[in-house]
Amino acid sequence: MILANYLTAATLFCLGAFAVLTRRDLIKIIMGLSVMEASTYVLLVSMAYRRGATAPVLAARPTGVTEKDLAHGNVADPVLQNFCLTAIVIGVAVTAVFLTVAVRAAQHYRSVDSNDVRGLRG
Amino acid sequence: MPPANDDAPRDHSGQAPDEEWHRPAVGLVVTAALAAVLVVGVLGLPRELAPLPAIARHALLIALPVWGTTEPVSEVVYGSRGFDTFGETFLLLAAVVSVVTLSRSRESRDEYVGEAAAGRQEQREHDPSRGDGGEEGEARQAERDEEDGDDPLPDPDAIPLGEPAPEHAAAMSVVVRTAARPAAIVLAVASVYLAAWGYTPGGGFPAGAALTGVAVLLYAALGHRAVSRFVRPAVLEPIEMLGGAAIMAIGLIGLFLKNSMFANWVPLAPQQTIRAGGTEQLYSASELVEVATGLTIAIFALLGMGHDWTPDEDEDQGEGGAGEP
Amino acid sequence: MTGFWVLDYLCLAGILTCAALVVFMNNRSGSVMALSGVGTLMSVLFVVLGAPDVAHAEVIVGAIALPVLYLVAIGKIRTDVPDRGELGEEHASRK
Repeated sequence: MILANYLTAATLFCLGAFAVLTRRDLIKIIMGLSVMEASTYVLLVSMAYRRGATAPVLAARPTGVTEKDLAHGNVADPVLQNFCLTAIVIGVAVTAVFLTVAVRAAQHYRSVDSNDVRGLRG
Repeated sequence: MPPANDDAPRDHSGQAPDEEWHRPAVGLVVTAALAAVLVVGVLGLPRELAPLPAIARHALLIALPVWGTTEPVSEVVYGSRGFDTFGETFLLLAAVVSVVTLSRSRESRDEYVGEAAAGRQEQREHDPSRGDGGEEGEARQAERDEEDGDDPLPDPDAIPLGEPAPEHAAAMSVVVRTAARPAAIVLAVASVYLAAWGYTPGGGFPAGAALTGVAVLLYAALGHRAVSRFVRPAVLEPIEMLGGAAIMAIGLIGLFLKNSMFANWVPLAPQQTIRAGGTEQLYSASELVEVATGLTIAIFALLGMGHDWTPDEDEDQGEGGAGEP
Repeated sequence: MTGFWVLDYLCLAGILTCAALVVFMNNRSGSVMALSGVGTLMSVLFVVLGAPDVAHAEVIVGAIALPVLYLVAIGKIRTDVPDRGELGEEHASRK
């Protein structure tokens, strides 16, 4: 049943959170964030799945199909899939900025350890 | 090379820190609590037998009559929720701008702002062969003169098999160089094809990201000089802005003609033809242009980031060099 | 219907192992490859779950965009690499 997908998404999220909380290397922290983002993708697409569903591609206008029939049609939910597509794009954009900041911080503090980067100024 | 400030706790920068974890026990407890909350939340989610929500049914119903496309996901992405994709595409644009700003090399601060850039420009006009002037160029040249003693850059084909070739090879072997060109052409056509036919899955973003992959393939195979003509920010940024402007134009025309942003103002074409889908095709194509150039700029800006160790101004004012070549 | 669930559970198991590898592996480049593994296996999961659009985007992000960004960042952090110029990264020329 689809609950396994949901539980996998929850475990992925916790794995990523554990990495972000306890890792010291800047790059590994950002990878933890990527794993957390991956868990949201799995959750969104798993929620879009309907039993016996195929990809939401229509061969023709669902003629003679009332709104109610469509409710239980064997088609996955396109709107949730759009949410996941948007999340993937934002994930790439945000990761690029994180990595640039991490490289600049590593160059400035000459170390990749997040403990050394913590020195606040002033 | 001794680090500039000796009090840096880790002198071999770049290597992973010694102890890998930072208080894992506490992290474990917090994560376990988070897991409990998540499992409770996830149990309440609708399972796979739930009816489709109203908005999904609406998307399925209007996909063909209003937008003329048989692909509801594209209709949702570029049609009825076009404003959301507009926000997401411009967020990617903002991310590219911030990456470019962060990875610019440090302009020496002791002159007027822009003086170094103006000097570089003048340098390039009068003495183009000399390339980037400034003290960094001289420092790099001095270092290269010192270094001339060791072996010249080995040609990868001359290196015997089994050697750690990639560590000091100057370029890829001839096999990679020749194979990369046809592969790049085929991949570029395949990635544009991904977005060309509106009624098939796949839209502007995957196609644009695939084009960036082709650019990175050419860079890795043929070196920076081969791709630097196309990859210069001066070339890519206008195209990216054009893509963004096209997206805004599509939205605003929809607003004026059909008084709702990103509404379909193109006459419907018959199903399953290249023009099917109304403004979706235009939107997807302009997003392709913007994502391809945007990601390429971001990756090459990250690649071109200089090693300018920015020493703390106050700490080692004495011997902190402005830029380490 | 069981065929579908077998595929689904296989993909989920693969994603979980790759994610555990990403978190618990100390070598940075190795965990980047594991992260790419997560992305690619997720793309297979999306195909199984009937989401071709998302699978397109995820396979490209998981296999091209993210690994390239991470490996370039890891390369940039290694500050002891002599900058040779040709294959090395020249300063992004501004004009």
